[in-house]
Amino acid sequence: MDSARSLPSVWRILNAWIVGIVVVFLLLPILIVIPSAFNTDPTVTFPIHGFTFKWFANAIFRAEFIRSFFLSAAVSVVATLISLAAGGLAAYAIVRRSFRGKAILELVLLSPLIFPSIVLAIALTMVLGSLGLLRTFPGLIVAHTIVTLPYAVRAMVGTFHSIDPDLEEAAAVLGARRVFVWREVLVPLLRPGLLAAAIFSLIMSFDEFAVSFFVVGPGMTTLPIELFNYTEFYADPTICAVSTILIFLSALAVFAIERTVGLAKLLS
Amino acid sequence: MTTATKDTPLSVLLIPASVIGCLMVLSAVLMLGISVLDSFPGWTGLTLEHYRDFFENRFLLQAGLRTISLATVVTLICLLLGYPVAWFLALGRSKIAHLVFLAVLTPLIVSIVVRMFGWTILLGNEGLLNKVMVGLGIVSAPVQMMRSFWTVAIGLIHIFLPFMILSLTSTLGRIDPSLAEAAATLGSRPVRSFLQIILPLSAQGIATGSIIVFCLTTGVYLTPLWLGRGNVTVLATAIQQQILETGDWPTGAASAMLLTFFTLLLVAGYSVLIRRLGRR
Amino acid sequence: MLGQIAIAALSVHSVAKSLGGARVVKDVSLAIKPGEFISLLGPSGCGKTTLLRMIAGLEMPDSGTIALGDKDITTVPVWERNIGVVFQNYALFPHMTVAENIAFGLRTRKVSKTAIEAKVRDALKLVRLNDFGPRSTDKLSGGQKQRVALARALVTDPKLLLLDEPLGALDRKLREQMQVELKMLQREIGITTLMVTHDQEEALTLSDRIAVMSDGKILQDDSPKEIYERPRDAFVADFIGMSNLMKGRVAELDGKKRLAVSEKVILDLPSEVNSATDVSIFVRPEKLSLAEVPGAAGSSLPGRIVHVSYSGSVTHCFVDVGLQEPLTVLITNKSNHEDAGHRIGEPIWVHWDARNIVVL
Ligand SMILES: Nc1ncnc2c1ncn2[C@@H]1O[C@H](COP(=O)(O)OP(=O)(O)O)[C@@H](O)[C@H]1O
Ligand SMILES: [Mg+2]
Repeated sequence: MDSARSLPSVWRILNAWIVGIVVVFLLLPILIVIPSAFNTDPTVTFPIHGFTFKWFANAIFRAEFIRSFFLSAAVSVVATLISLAAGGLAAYAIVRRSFRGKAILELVLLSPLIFPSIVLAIALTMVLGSLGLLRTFPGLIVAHTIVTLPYAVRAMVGTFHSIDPDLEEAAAVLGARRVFVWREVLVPLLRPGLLAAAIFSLIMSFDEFAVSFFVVGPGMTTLPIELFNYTEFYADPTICAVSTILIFLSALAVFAIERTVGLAKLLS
Repeated sequence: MTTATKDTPLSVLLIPASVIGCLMVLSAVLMLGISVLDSFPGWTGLTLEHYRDFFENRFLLQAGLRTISLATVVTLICLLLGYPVAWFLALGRSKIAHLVFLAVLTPLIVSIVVRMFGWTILLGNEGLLNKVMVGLGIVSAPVQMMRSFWTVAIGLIHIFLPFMILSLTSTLGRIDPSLAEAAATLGSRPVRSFLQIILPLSAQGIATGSIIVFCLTTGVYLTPLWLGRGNVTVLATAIQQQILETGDWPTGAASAMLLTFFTLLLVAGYSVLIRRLGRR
Repeated sequence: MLGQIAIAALSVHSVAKSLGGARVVKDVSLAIKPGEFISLLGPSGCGKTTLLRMIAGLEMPDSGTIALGDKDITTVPVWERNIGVVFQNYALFPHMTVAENIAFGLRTRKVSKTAIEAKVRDALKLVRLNDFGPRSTDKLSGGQKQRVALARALVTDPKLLLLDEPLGALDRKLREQMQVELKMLQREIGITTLMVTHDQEEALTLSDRIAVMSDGKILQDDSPKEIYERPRDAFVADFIGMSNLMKGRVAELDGKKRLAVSEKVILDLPSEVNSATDVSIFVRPEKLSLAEVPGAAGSSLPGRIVHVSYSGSVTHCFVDVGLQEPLTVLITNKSNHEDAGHRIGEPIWVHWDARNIVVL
């Protein structure tokens, strides 16, 4: 490394230490869960005694977990698709068009980032309640879409900004029709942005707790809340087993992304 | 502009997002409405009484102050830990930098519930940290670490640190490396170059990262609930109790609005700051 | 005084550097006399910037030494060298005004406030930006940015000025104007200057001396005239100006040195060449001329015009004489009413004077 950019050695060593500590800090609480899932003890301890798969069996054969996992997956996929479609169109309008109320729309669409989720949760409970959507699948979808839409809009606004408007014009000059321009020019160029928005939105939705906490009901519970409820009553490593499965799924996702587009590129 | 896609009707572009946007606005208006009602449900007139109630209610006020100090602590620590890491990521193009980047992104993809559970395993009475400390003879009996302000802070730092690092990395990555080199050729030592060139130029990233972390922290609900287990009341949990357990909707709504106003004020102050930085 | 032996302002001795596993600079030596203006000329990627960065102290050589005057600075950190550097993209501090940019180097040296003010004012005057002090740097034009960067580099009275493609980002007209300004400024303050460029015209116009670099090595280090008229090898000949390169075998014919390029093409050579060897020769396009009639045998060749390229003051004619490449002939357009009348496809004779042929 050249001498101007890097700091003198004392600082460099300090910097390296902080980087090391942060990496351990970020990964340790995730990795620690895995061995605990195989512990024979009925309490979560570390280091573990013995080796068993019984907690995995317990997790997999617990109907609530299975049901809530698939509910969470379904909700996050649907909410993400809606967010991408609605957010993509709105982001396009925000970047390429001028219209009255644009500033307000921008503010509203991005506000949940600053709107405390608890406020949203309680208000939404009332709104959904009065619409008869509380404790229903559509109600959950509405709640989750509200949470994920801002992230989608934000990611897509950034992407549209990075696309040269001339490309559209070039396509238009070549005689492309509107739908064709979207399908053949915009969507392929948007793909990295779409993917980033989709991944972010899926994660946000799958992890969503505060808003769902008020909207869910018996038989309509998302996985994070089911897990939370479980730990209110039990302290055995079943949660570790579920977590291990989730970590494994996350790792698969990371691996797939890294192999296809590259995580770094996705977020840059 | 004269593109063919200009013909896509504005309504087609805007209606889907607007429907959802209206729901959000409705939520906010609803809360604002309830907060100025004398009582709810029912109609007995309008009042601003509930905003005063917040400041007179020890429980709510303490929760509010705790929320702000929690957000401050979390933001500062995220900044202090995140800046060196972002620096490392922005300058390094090595294999190690790539791995560190992956390590920073990984928590984002793992469910928060899983991560909270990990912290329980690490910090619980029977947890790894206590085992190590007792084993090394640092303490004679396990220390109660769970259910405390600092455990909640650690959990939140774990959640928000990646956001901070990403925000700072993108700003630091945009700073032209030849600026620091130019400073060096003009006789500036590295520490001085850092303070006079790099730090001012990364002010915007620091502000963005801090505001995101601060705002998100003031609204958190799950982490205090999980790691605090009823012992660390923040405004979000207090409002929930006020409304759903005490049934005092207007005071709860007033507290929620105060939290919202406070956050908005902060964001407004931030955009003024950014504009001033941008004008230089 | 040390008498005849003037100490070089900068001496680079056997410096080498590898970057990312590739040897970017290979055993380079170079000496610059006080007050001299030297250009480092070469195609992009040949290691010019890397050499400049090592002299500035931004990069550490793997081997070799660098001395400023009689002081070895190889291991002296950048910030203690006091070498002025103008970066290719100017590297102006975007959060500072023009005056603050220029004052930066003075502030690091703890110069008093009043002295800073005076020096900044002088520096602004020097680069003809008198009233620009309070302006923000992002609203300046390319040429103005360039001048601020120059003022900032010069204000601390450095012993050496390094310029990395200083005019590369400017458009042609402005570049030519800045070349003149730069040269006048350099002569006025008499500072020893090393400039990196890939623009041969710029190097020829500005420099007292040119070091031609290729693939991490300095191939030739001479005055602009020597470099142009007497290039040491084919690369230098080809890189600077246009040239007609030919290969052939030297033979003696009728007591005269001749070069057989092909069976038909046989040329006269300057007499000092050794016979019976394979050589490359070259001749500049402006040293050739065209005529409708043959000249003396051995100093003219028949051919056919294959392309004509008119560029205002001069015209380049490309003539096929039966070699692999057509010969390039430069004609000055001396008259604005008479057409030289060269047409594509027209048969023509190329004439030359054997003394203008350079054997590599
Ligand atoms: N930091 C680096 N790591 C690896 N290779 C580099 C680095 N910097 C420059 N190079 C390579 O070294 C060669 C010379 O670069 P440079 O000195 O910038 O050339 P020039 O200024 O003559 O265009 C180039 O091929 C470039 O790709
Ligand atoms: Mg270069």
